[in-house]
Amino acid sequence: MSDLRTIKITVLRYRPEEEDEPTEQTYEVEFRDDWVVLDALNHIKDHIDGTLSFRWSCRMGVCGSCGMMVNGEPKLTCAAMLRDYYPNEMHVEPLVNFPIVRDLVTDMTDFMDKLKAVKPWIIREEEKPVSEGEYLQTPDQLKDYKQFSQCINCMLCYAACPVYGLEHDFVGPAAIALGHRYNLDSRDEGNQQRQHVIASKEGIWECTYVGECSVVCPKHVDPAEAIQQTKVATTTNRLKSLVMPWGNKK
Amino acid sequence: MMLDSETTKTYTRPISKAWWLRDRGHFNRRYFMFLLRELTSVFVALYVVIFTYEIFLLTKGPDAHAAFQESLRSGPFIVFFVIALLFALYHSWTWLGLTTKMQAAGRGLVKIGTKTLPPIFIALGSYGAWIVATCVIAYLFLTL
Repeated sequence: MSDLRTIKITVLRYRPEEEDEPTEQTYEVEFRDDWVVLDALNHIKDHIDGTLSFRWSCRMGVCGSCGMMVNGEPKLTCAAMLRDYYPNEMHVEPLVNFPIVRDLVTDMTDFMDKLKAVKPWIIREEEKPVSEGEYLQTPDQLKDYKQFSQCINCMLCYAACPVYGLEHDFVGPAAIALGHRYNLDSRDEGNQQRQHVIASKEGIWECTYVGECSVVCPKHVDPAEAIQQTKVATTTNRLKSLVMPWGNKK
Repeated sequence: MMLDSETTKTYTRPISKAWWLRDRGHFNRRYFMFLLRELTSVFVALYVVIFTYEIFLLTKGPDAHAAFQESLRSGPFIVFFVIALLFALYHSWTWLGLTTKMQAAGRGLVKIGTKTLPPIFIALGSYGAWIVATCVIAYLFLTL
Protein backbone atom coordinates (compact mmCIF):
# COMPACT_ATOMS: atom_id res chain seq x y z
CA MET A 1 0.00 0.00 0.00
CA SER A 2 3.02 2.26 -0.35
CA ASP A 3 1.48 3.98 -3.38
CA LEU A 4 -1.13 5.74 -1.23
CA ARG A 5 -1.05 9.52 -1.12
CA THR A 6 -3.18 11.91 0.90
CA ILE A 7 -5.12 14.79 -0.58
CA LYS A 8 -7.27 17.42 1.13
CA ILE A 9 -10.73 17.79 -0.36
CA THR A 10 -12.97 20.65 0.71
CA VAL A 11 -16.61 19.92 -0.02
CA LEU A 12 -19.49 22.37 -0.01
CA ARG A 13 -22.08 21.05 2.45
CA TYR A 14 -25.70 22.12 2.68
CA ARG A 15 -28.00 20.46 5.19
CA PRO A 16 -31.31 22.32 4.88
CA GLU A 17 -32.66 21.02 8.18
CA GLU A 18 -29.61 22.39 10.04
CA GLU A 19 -28.43 25.49 8.19
CA ASP A 20 -29.71 28.34 6.03
CA GLU A 21 -26.74 28.47 3.70
CA PRO A 22 -23.92 26.15 2.64
CA THR A 23 -20.74 25.66 4.64
CA GLU A 24 -17.43 24.00 3.80
CA GLN A 25 -16.03 20.80 5.21
CA THR A 26 -12.52 19.48 4.58
CA TYR A 27 -11.64 15.80 4.44
CA GLU A 28 -8.26 14.12 4.13
CA VAL A 29 -8.44 11.20 1.75
CA GLU A 30 -5.80 8.57 1.09
CA PHE A 31 -5.99 7.68 -2.57
CA ARG A 32 -4.42 5.37 -5.10
CA ASP A 33 -3.06 6.63 -8.40
CA ASP A 34 -6.06 5.39 -10.40
CA TRP A 35 -8.73 7.03 -8.23
CA VAL A 36 -11.10 9.62 -9.64
CA VAL A 37 -12.85 12.34 -7.63
CA LEU A 38 -15.97 10.18 -7.40
CA ASP A 39 -13.90 7.41 -5.77
CA ALA A 40 -12.78 9.91 -3.14
CA LEU A 41 -16.37 10.99 -2.46
CA ASN A 42 -17.46 7.38 -2.13
CA HIS A 43 -14.51 6.76 0.21
CA ILE A 44 -15.60 9.71 2.35
CA LYS A 45 -19.17 8.45 2.45
CA ASP A 46 -18.18 4.85 3.24
CA HIS A 47 -15.37 5.47 5.74
CA ILE A 48 -15.32 9.05 7.01
CA ASP A 49 -18.70 10.75 6.88
CA GLY A 50 -21.80 8.83 5.87
CA THR A 51 -23.93 11.97 5.82
CA LEU A 52 -22.36 13.34 2.63
CA SER A 53 -24.87 13.33 -0.24
CA PHE A 54 -24.13 13.25 -3.96
CA ARG A 55 -25.48 11.66 -7.15
CA TRP A 56 -23.72 8.99 -9.13
CA SER A 57 -24.54 5.84 -11.01
CA CYS A 58 -22.50 4.33 -13.82
CA ARG A 59 -18.98 5.52 -12.93
CA MET A 60 -18.03 5.41 -16.61
CA GLY A 61 -19.10 8.72 -18.19
CA VAL A 62 -22.39 7.47 -19.57
CA CYS A 63 -25.15 8.26 -17.08
CA GLY A 64 -24.25 11.94 -16.63
CA SER A 65 -25.32 12.07 -12.99
CA CYS A 66 -22.03 12.80 -11.19
CA GLY A 67 -21.40 16.30 -12.59
CA MET A 68 -19.95 18.72 -10.00
CA MET A 69 -17.72 21.76 -9.82
CA VAL A 70 -14.15 20.58 -9.29
CA ASN A 71 -11.86 23.49 -8.48
CA GLY A 72 -14.39 25.81 -10.10
CA GLU A 73 -14.83 23.84 -13.32
CA PRO A 74 -17.84 21.69 -14.22
CA LYS A 75 -16.60 18.09 -14.44
CA LEU A 76 -17.89 14.56 -14.45
CA THR A 77 -16.32 13.41 -11.20
CA CYS A 78 -16.02 9.87 -12.57
CA ALA A 79 -13.62 11.22 -15.19
CA ALA A 80 -11.57 13.66 -13.07
CA MET A 81 -8.38 11.99 -11.80
CA LEU A 82 -7.28 12.90 -8.28
CA ARG A 83 -3.62 12.73 -9.30
CA ASP A 84 -4.19 15.67 -11.65
CA TYR A 85 -5.02 17.88 -8.65
CA TYR A 86 -2.50 16.47 -6.16
CA PRO A 87 -0.68 17.83 -4.13
CA ASN A 88 -2.92 20.89 -4.02
CA GLU A 89 -6.09 21.02 -1.97
CA MET A 90 -9.24 20.39 -3.99
CA HIS A 91 -12.63 22.06 -3.84
CA VAL A 92 -15.74 20.15 -4.81
CA GLU A 93 -19.10 21.92 -5.08
CA PRO A 94 -22.46 21.17 -6.60
CA LEU A 95 -22.99 22.39 -10.17
CA VAL A 96 -23.46 26.15 -10.17
CA ASN A 97 -26.55 27.82 -11.67
CA PHE A 98 -28.80 25.20 -10.05
CA PRO A 99 -30.43 25.33 -6.63
CA ILE A 100 -28.79 23.04 -4.08
CA VAL A 101 -31.05 20.40 -2.57
CA ARG A 102 -28.45 18.88 -0.22
CA ASP A 103 -24.65 18.89 -0.22
CA LEU A 104 -23.60 18.11 -3.81
CA VAL A 105 -27.11 17.34 -5.06
CA THR A 106 -28.82 19.97 -7.21
CA ASP A 107 -32.40 20.47 -8.29
CA MET A 108 -32.59 19.65 -12.00
CA THR A 109 -36.30 20.41 -12.43
CA ASP A 110 -35.68 23.50 -14.57
CA PHE A 111 -33.48 21.57 -16.98
CA MET A 112 -35.95 18.70 -17.23
CA ASP A 113 -38.80 21.11 -18.02
CA LYS A 114 -36.75 22.76 -20.76
CA LEU A 115 -35.66 19.43 -22.17
CA LYS A 116 -39.28 18.31 -22.42
CA ALA A 117 -40.26 21.61 -24.06
CA VAL A 118 -37.98 21.02 -27.09
CA LYS A 119 -39.64 17.63 -27.70
CA PRO A 120 -36.47 15.55 -28.02
CA TRP A 121 -38.03 12.65 -29.85
CA ILE A 122 -38.93 11.87 -33.45
CA ILE A 123 -42.17 13.54 -34.46
CA ARG A 124 -44.08 12.34 -37.52
CA GLU A 125 -47.03 14.14 -39.03
CA GLU A 126 -48.48 10.76 -39.75
CA GLU A 127 -47.00 7.46 -38.59
CA LYS A 128 -46.80 4.81 -41.27
CA PRO A 129 -48.03 1.32 -40.41
CA VAL A 130 -45.48 -1.06 -38.87
CA SER A 131 -46.06 -3.38 -41.81
CA GLU A 132 -44.36 -0.82 -44.08
CA GLY A 133 -41.09 -1.25 -42.20
CA GLU A 134 -38.55 1.10 -40.65
CA TYR A 135 -37.83 4.69 -41.54
CA LEU A 136 -34.60 4.24 -43.46
CA GLN A 137 -31.63 6.57 -43.23
CA THR A 138 -28.35 6.82 -45.12
CA PRO A 139 -24.96 7.07 -43.35
CA ASP A 140 -24.68 10.69 -44.52
CA GLN A 141 -28.07 11.52 -43.00
CA LEU A 142 -26.96 9.89 -39.75
CA LYS A 143 -23.76 11.92 -39.78
CA ASP A 144 -25.79 15.16 -39.87
CA TYR A 145 -26.99 14.76 -36.29
CA LYS A 146 -25.00 11.92 -34.69
CA GLN A 147 -22.65 14.13 -32.69
CA PHE A 148 -25.55 16.03 -31.13
CA SER A 149 -27.15 12.74 -30.09
CA GLN A 150 -24.22 11.97 -27.77
CA CYS A 151 -25.55 14.27 -25.03
CA ILE A 152 -25.89 12.51 -21.68
CA ASN A 153 -27.86 15.32 -19.95
CA CYS A 154 -25.07 15.86 -17.41
CA MET A 155 -25.85 19.60 -17.28
CA LEU A 156 -22.18 20.62 -17.16
CA CYS A 157 -22.93 23.02 -20.03
CA TYR A 158 -25.59 24.77 -17.94
CA ALA A 159 -23.12 25.19 -15.09
CA ALA A 160 -20.56 26.62 -17.52
CA CYS A 161 -22.99 29.03 -19.17
CA PRO A 162 -23.03 32.49 -17.55
CA VAL A 163 -26.03 33.43 -19.69
CA TYR A 164 -28.07 30.67 -18.06
CA GLY A 165 -26.79 31.77 -14.66
CA LEU A 166 -27.90 35.34 -15.24
CA GLU A 167 -31.02 34.69 -17.35
CA HIS A 168 -32.76 31.62 -16.03
CA ASP A 169 -35.38 31.72 -18.78
CA PHE A 170 -32.69 30.74 -21.29
CA VAL A 171 -33.55 27.32 -22.73
CA GLY A 172 -29.87 26.50 -22.49
CA PRO A 173 -27.18 24.59 -24.41
CA ALA A 174 -28.11 20.92 -23.99
CA ALA A 175 -31.84 21.33 -24.61
CA ILE A 176 -31.23 23.38 -27.76
CA ALA A 177 -28.58 20.91 -28.97
CA LEU A 178 -31.00 18.02 -28.49
CA GLY A 179 -33.82 19.86 -30.23
CA HIS A 180 -31.40 20.59 -33.08
CA ARG A 181 -30.42 16.93 -33.16
CA TYR A 182 -34.03 15.95 -33.97
CA ASN A 183 -34.50 18.83 -36.40
CA LEU A 184 -31.53 17.45 -38.35
CA ASP A 185 -32.87 13.90 -38.33
CA SER A 186 -34.17 12.95 -41.78
CA ARG A 187 -36.96 10.87 -40.16
CA ASP A 188 -38.31 13.80 -38.16
CA GLU A 189 -41.06 16.21 -39.16
CA GLY A 190 -41.35 18.20 -35.94
CA ASN A 191 -39.23 21.24 -36.76
CA GLN A 192 -42.17 23.65 -36.61
CA GLN A 193 -43.33 22.26 -33.27
CA ARG A 194 -39.93 22.97 -31.72
CA GLN A 195 -39.37 26.36 -33.27
CA HIS A 196 -41.50 28.35 -30.82
CA VAL A 197 -39.16 27.18 -28.05
CA ILE A 198 -35.82 26.93 -29.81
CA ALA A 199 -36.10 30.03 -32.01
CA SER A 200 -37.66 32.20 -29.32
CA LYS A 201 -35.99 35.05 -27.47
CA GLU A 202 -35.32 32.65 -24.59
CA GLY A 203 -33.91 30.14 -27.06
CA ILE A 204 -31.05 30.59 -29.49
CA TRP A 205 -31.24 34.40 -29.48
CA GLU A 206 -30.44 34.57 -25.77
CA CYS A 207 -27.07 32.94 -26.48
CA THR A 208 -24.28 35.51 -26.80
CA TYR A 209 -21.70 32.85 -27.56
CA VAL A 210 -19.47 32.51 -24.58
CA GLY A 211 -18.62 29.06 -25.94
CA GLU A 212 -17.83 27.55 -22.54
CA CYS A 213 -20.62 24.96 -22.94
CA SER A 214 -18.65 23.25 -25.69
CA VAL A 215 -15.38 23.47 -23.76
CA VAL A 216 -16.74 21.58 -20.73
CA CYS A 217 -18.89 19.03 -22.62
CA PRO A 218 -17.49 15.58 -21.73
CA LYS A 219 -19.01 14.00 -24.86
CA HIS A 220 -17.82 16.69 -27.32
CA VAL A 221 -21.39 17.40 -28.36
CA ASP A 222 -20.51 21.04 -29.04
CA PRO A 223 -23.80 22.73 -28.05
CA ALA A 224 -22.41 26.11 -29.15
CA GLU A 225 -22.17 24.73 -32.67
CA ALA A 226 -25.77 23.51 -32.50
CA ILE A 227 -26.94 26.96 -31.40
CA GLN A 228 -25.01 28.79 -34.13
CA GLN A 229 -26.27 26.35 -36.76
CA THR A 230 -29.83 26.84 -35.55
CA LYS A 231 -29.44 30.62 -35.72
CA VAL A 232 -28.35 30.41 -39.35
CA ALA A 233 -31.02 27.85 -40.27
CA THR A 234 -33.78 29.85 -38.56
CA THR A 235 -32.73 33.09 -40.24
CA THR A 236 -32.51 31.37 -43.62
CA ASN A 237 -35.97 29.84 -43.18
CA ARG A 238 -37.46 33.20 -42.22
CA LEU A 239 -35.93 34.87 -45.27
CA LYS A 240 -37.20 32.03 -47.44
CA SER A 241 -40.71 32.39 -46.05
CA LEU A 242 -40.58 36.13 -46.76
CA VAL A 243 -39.36 35.72 -50.31
CA MET A 244 -41.36 32.60 -51.04
CA PRO A 245 -44.41 32.66 -48.74
CA TRP A 246 -45.99 29.88 -50.80
CA GLY A 247 -43.04 27.55 -50.01
CA ASN A 248 -43.24 24.44 -47.88
CA LYS A 249 -42.76 25.54 -44.26
CA LYS A 250 -42.69 22.06 -42.79
CA MET B 1 -36.59 12.90 -9.49
CA MET B 2 -38.69 16.05 -9.47
CA LEU B 3 -38.80 18.15 -6.33
CA ASP B 4 -41.79 19.66 -4.65
CA SER B 5 -40.69 23.29 -4.55
CA GLU B 6 -43.30 24.03 -1.88
CA THR B 7 -41.80 21.67 0.66
CA THR B 8 -38.13 21.44 -0.34
CA LYS B 9 -35.83 24.08 1.07
CA THR B 10 -33.24 24.58 -1.64
CA TYR B 11 -30.39 27.08 -1.65
CA THR B 12 -29.61 29.21 -4.71
CA ARG B 13 -26.10 30.60 -4.76
CA PRO B 14 -25.80 34.27 -5.75
CA ILE B 15 -23.71 35.10 -8.80
CA SER B 16 -20.86 37.48 -8.12
CA LYS B 17 -20.78 40.66 -10.21
CA ALA B 18 -17.16 39.78 -10.92
CA TRP B 19 -17.98 36.32 -12.27
CA TRP B 20 -16.17 37.18 -15.50
CA LEU B 21 -12.92 37.84 -13.59
CA ARG B 22 -12.88 35.07 -11.07
CA ASP B 23 -15.01 31.97 -11.27
CA ARG B 24 -15.27 30.36 -7.82
CA GLY B 25 -11.80 31.54 -6.98
CA HIS B 26 -10.28 30.50 -10.30
CA PHE B 27 -9.52 32.82 -13.21
CA ASN B 28 -11.34 31.79 -16.38
CA ARG B 29 -9.67 33.36 -19.40
CA ARG B 30 -12.57 32.52 -21.71
CA TYR B 31 -15.12 34.33 -19.53
CA PHE B 32 -12.82 37.34 -19.45
CA MET B 33 -12.32 37.37 -23.23
CA PHE B 34 -16.07 37.00 -23.72
CA LEU B 35 -16.82 40.03 -21.59
CA LEU B 36 -14.08 41.94 -23.35
CA ARG B 37 -15.87 41.18 -26.62
CA GLU B 38 -19.13 42.46 -25.17
CA LEU B 39 -17.31 45.59 -23.98
CA THR B 40 -16.14 46.33 -27.53
CA SER B 41 -19.71 47.37 -28.36
CA VAL B 42 -19.46 50.29 -25.94
CA PHE B 43 -16.43 51.72 -27.73
CA VAL B 44 -17.94 51.13 -31.17
CA ALA B 45 -21.15 52.86 -30.01
CA LEU B 46 -19.17 55.84 -28.66
CA TYR B 47 -17.31 56.10 -31.95
CA VAL B 48 -20.63 56.09 -33.84
CA VAL B 49 -21.89 58.92 -31.60
CA ILE B 50 -18.77 61.01 -32.35
CA PHE B 51 -19.03 60.23 -36.06
CA THR B 52 -22.74 61.12 -36.13
CA TYR B 53 -22.04 64.40 -34.32
CA GLU B 54 -19.31 65.18 -36.87
CA ILE B 55 -21.79 64.66 -39.71
CA PHE B 56 -24.34 66.82 -37.88
CA LEU B 57 -21.76 69.64 -37.70
CA LEU B 58 -21.63 69.71 -41.51
CA THR B 59 -25.05 71.37 -41.32
CA LYS B 60 -23.52 74.11 -39.14
CA GLY B 61 -21.03 75.21 -41.74
CA PRO B 62 -17.40 74.40 -42.66
CA ASP B 63 -15.87 76.35 -39.75
CA ALA B 64 -17.75 74.43 -37.05
CA HIS B 65 -16.89 71.14 -38.73
CA ALA B 66 -13.20 72.02 -39.15
CA ALA B 67 -12.92 73.13 -35.50
CA PHE B 68 -14.37 69.85 -34.29
CA GLN B 69 -12.09 67.88 -36.59
CA GLU B 70 -9.13 69.75 -35.16
CA SER B 71 -10.17 68.85 -31.61
CA LEU B 72 -10.33 65.16 -32.67
CA ARG B 73 -6.57 65.33 -33.26
CA SER B 74 -5.92 65.88 -29.57
CA GLY B 75 -4.21 63.22 -27.43
CA PRO B 76 -7.23 61.85 -25.54
CA PHE B 77 -9.25 61.41 -28.75
CA ILE B 78 -6.35 59.66 -30.48
CA VAL B 79 -6.00 57.28 -27.52
CA PHE B 80 -9.75 56.62 -27.69
CA PHE B 81 -9.64 55.98 -31.45
CA VAL B 82 -6.75 53.53 -31.09
CA ILE B 83 -8.62 51.62 -28.37
CA ALA B 84 -11.85 51.67 -30.40
CA LEU B 85 -9.97 50.37 -33.45
CA LEU B 86 -8.37 47.53 -31.49
CA PHE B 87 -11.74 46.57 -30.00
CA ALA B 88 -13.44 46.75 -33.40
CA LEU B 89 -10.75 44.50 -34.87
CA TYR B 90 -11.08 42.04 -31.98
CA HIS B 91 -14.87 41.97 -32.29
CA SER B 92 -14.77 41.51 -36.07
CA TRP B 93 -12.13 38.79 -35.91
CA THR B 94 -13.95 36.74 -33.26
CA TRP B 95 -17.38 37.30 -34.86
CA LEU B 96 -16.16 36.09 -38.25
CA GLY B 97 -14.44 33.17 -36.54
CA LEU B 98 -17.89 32.11 -35.36
CA THR B 99 -19.00 31.48 -38.92
CA THR B 100 -17.01 28.25 -38.94
CA LYS B 101 -19.23 26.99 -36.13
CA MET B 102 -22.08 26.47 -38.54
CA GLN B 103 -19.81 24.37 -40.67
CA ALA B 104 -18.14 21.80 -38.45
CA ALA B 105 -16.38 19.06 -40.37
CA GLY B 106 -18.84 16.53 -41.70
CA ARG B 107 -22.05 18.09 -40.41
CA GLY B 108 -22.22 21.69 -41.60
CA LEU B 109 -25.08 23.64 -43.12
CA VAL B 110 -23.42 24.42 -46.45
CA LYS B 111 -23.21 21.31 -48.59
CA ILE B 112 -22.21 20.44 -52.10
CA GLY B 113 -24.31 17.43 -52.96
CA THR B 114 -24.00 15.23 -49.88
CA LYS B 115 -20.55 16.52 -48.91
CA THR B 116 -20.07 19.25 -46.33
CA LEU B 117 -17.99 22.19 -47.45
CA PRO B 118 -14.87 22.21 -45.20
CA PRO B 119 -15.08 24.95 -42.53
CA ILE B 120 -11.79 26.45 -43.70
CA PHE B 121 -13.56 27.69 -46.85
CA ILE B 122 -16.18 29.47 -44.75
CA ALA B 123 -13.43 31.05 -42.65
CA LEU B 124 -11.41 32.10 -45.68
CA GLY B 125 -14.53 33.49 -47.34
CA SER B 126 -15.53 35.49 -44.25
CA TYR B 127 -12.10 36.89 -43.46
CA GLY B 128 -11.38 37.44 -47.17
CA ALA B 129 -14.60 39.42 -47.69
CA TRP B 130 -13.82 41.45 -44.56
CA ILE B 131 -10.29 42.32 -45.74
CA VAL B 132 -11.47 43.18 -49.26
CA ALA B 133 -14.30 45.39 -47.93
CA THR B 134 -11.85 47.14 -45.58
CA CYS B 135 -9.39 47.77 -48.42
CA VAL B 136 -12.13 49.13 -50.72
CA ILE B 137 -13.40 51.52 -48.01
CA ALA B 138 -9.86 52.58 -47.12
CA TYR B 139 -9.09 53.22 -50.80
CA LEU B 140 -12.24 55.29 -51.28
CA PHE B 141 -11.60 57.21 -48.05
CA LEU B 142 -7.99 58.01 -48.87
CA THR B 143 -8.45 58.92 -52.55
CA LEU B 144 -11.79 60.73 -52.74
